Amino acid sequence: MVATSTFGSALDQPGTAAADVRDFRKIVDEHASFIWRVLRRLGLAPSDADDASQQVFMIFAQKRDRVPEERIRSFLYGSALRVARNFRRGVERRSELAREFRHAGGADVGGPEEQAELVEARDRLDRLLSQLPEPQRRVMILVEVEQLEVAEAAKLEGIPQGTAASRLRLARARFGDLLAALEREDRERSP
Amino acid sequence: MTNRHDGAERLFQAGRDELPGRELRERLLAIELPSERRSVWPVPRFAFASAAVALATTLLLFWPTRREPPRLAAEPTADRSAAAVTPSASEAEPAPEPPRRIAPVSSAEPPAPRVAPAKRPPATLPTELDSLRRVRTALAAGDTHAALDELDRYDRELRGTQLRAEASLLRIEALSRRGDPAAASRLAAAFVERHPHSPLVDRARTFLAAPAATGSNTAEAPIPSQ
Repeated sequence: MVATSTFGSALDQPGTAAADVRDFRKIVDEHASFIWRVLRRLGLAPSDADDASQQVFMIFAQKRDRVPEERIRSFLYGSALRVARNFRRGVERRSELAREFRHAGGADVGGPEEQAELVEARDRLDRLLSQLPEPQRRVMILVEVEQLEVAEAAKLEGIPQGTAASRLRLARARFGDLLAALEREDRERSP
Repeated sequence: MTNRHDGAERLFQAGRDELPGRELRERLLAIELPSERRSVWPVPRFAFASAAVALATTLLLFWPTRREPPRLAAEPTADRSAAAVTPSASEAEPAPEPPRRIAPVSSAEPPAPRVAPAKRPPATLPTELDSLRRVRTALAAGDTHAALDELDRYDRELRGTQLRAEASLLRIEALSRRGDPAAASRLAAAFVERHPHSPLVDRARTFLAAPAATGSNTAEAPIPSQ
């Protein structure tokens, strides 16, 4: 059975063992935030990241029999990259309403000023990341934002560790240059 | 150099701090898990029992029909009617009418369908989006009746789940515009309590014990993109 469009509560599914549901819940709790943030940093608006996360976990739900436990994260990550690619492809077609959520996503706490700063910082982060070549950008997200070890990032990306380290080095240098240019513009604009 | 590094770290930290809304977890946990597991996790015995019962029920329902499939008029039958065409005649020239299915010989009347109607799956995301767009169009046109009708359809027929929060907010707006701020406020209070971290919560708060919403508020009613 392929559950592409049915959304009964997992806990109420009569043909599903309770252990399955518990396992699935655990996987959601362990990986959902990571996947959502990766999708965000790959350029998806919060509401799109929600939808894309749902697609990722639906793909996993269908194929989880074939995913060994130690490969769950890389499976989810790989699915997220593919789903993000499709979302980005269709982004021009989608309504401007997505942008409405762009500044409202996440579950942040704090006052309005702090919120505004965070939103601004994330916008800036995403703008800079989007100017990196895609492979460098992904390694950068995994290491700098998600704080994974280079070895783990390499594993998720399916590349040798040396390649990941090289991409990270290039990405850091490029990111630093872009940020410096942006800060220079800020200084020039400010009185 | 240090400033540059600090600046980058500040941006990375902002990225790290971002979390999905709580609704996402509910959405993910609502994903239906396929029940046909094959290898990794053991299938409990009751699953086999359920499968056996289902198989037995299926056989009981379908076995008679399968043993006596509907016959064509041209086929020889025990109770051949005068209108039946013999094989030789049908070979010699085209039959005046195409062969028609007739009821099984053992039945006086066509049997009523024995299969229970299939449970309709909840709507897909595009269907939910279309529905909520219709709500928004109705609201923008000032037709709160049509908007609320469509929201009822979303709840009852589509059984929408993926855009539940958006539908709730649109209902709040529809009630407010209909001139029922008390009902809108009640729903808004429930929304805030249930979805305290939703990106829509601030908008819902504007309906708390508030007078009827403005047109511009409605025109901006949110529907996420597909």
